[in-house]
Amino acid sequence: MDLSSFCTREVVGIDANASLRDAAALMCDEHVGALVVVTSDDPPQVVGLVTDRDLTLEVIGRGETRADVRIGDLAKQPPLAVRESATLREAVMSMEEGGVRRLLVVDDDGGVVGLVSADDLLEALSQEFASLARALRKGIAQEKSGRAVASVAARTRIVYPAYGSVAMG
Amino acid sequence: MDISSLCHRDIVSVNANATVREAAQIMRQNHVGALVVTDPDEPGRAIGVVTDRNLVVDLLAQGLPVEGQPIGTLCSTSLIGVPSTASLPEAVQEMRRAGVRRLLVVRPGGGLVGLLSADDLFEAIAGQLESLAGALRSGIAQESLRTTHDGPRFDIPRAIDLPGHEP
Repeated sequence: MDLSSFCTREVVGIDANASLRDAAALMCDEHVGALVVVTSDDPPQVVGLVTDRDLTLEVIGRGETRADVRIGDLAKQPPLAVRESATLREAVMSMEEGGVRRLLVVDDDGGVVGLVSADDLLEALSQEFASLARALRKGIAQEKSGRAVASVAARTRIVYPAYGSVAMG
Repeated sequence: MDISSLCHRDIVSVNANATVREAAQIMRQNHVGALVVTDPDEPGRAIGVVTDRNLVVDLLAQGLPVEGQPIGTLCSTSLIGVPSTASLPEAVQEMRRAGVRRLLVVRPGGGLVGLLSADDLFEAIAGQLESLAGALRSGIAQESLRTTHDGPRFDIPRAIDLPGHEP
C-alpha cells in the first residue's frame, strides 16, 4: 500500500532563518504540530523537522530569550524519512525505532512527497477495519439475497507535489 | 474497558504561579505533554490543564515574553473531563466535542482519578483487537486439540429464555 495515500496533511515548510515566533505562529495558523525546516536553496533542502513539543522543551524550557535564535538552530538532525513505497509495517517500525510519531515520506530520489503521522495511520487503519466489518456484513447479505452486492467506490488518493529533497541513508 | 483503569493516575501538576519556563521543564523531566494546574491557594485543587502545544500557540506565537509569565494565565479555566463511570464511546465523544486528546477522569463524588489520553484509548483498543484475534485462533486450536481450557468466567445457566419469552 502506497504510504503517500496515508498522509492526510500537507507538508508545511519554514525557512531555517525564520524566527522562533514565526515558527510558532505558522504552526498555529496552519494547525500543524510539526514544520519541515528548509534552506533557502532552490530547490529547498530539508534541514530537519521541528515539533511544537520541541519549541516548548527547547525554547521555553531553556528560557531561550535571545532574539537572534533561528528555527534552523533547533533542527539538529535530518528527520526520519521513509520511502513512499515502504510498507505500513516499515513505517511503524521506523516510528518505533526513532521514538517519533511523524515521518517524512520521500520518493526514490529523496524528494519530499508528504508527512505521515501516527494519527494518519490510525485514521487509515480504522477505515480498513470498518471496511472489513462491512465486508463481513455484506457477505451475509449476499448469502441471503443470493446475488452480488454493489461495491463502494475506491477512495481517491491524495498526491503531494515534490518539496525539496532529503539525503537518504 | 474501564476508563478509570486506562487513565494515568500519576498526574504531574504545576502550581498556577509557577513560570511557563518551570512548567516546560516539568514537562521535560516527567516526559509528559500535559500538566494539571493547581490553585496557588489550595495546592490540592486542580483549576486547569496546560499542554506543550498551549505554550506554543498561546505564548510563543503571540509574541509574549518567555520569561516570568505565570503558567496559570495560559490554561483555560474550564476543565474538560468525564466521570470515571463513563464508557469508552462517551470518552471518545467528549474528546471530539471539545477538540482535545486528553480528558480529566473524575470520581462521581468529586476528586481526580487521572488523565486519559487518546493514546491510552488507542493502546487499549489495539490490545482488545489483538485479544479478539487470539481468541479466534484459540477457538480453532481448541477444536483440533479437544482439550479443556480454563472454566468459563461467567456463570451462564444451561438454558436461557429468548427475549419476549420470559415467564
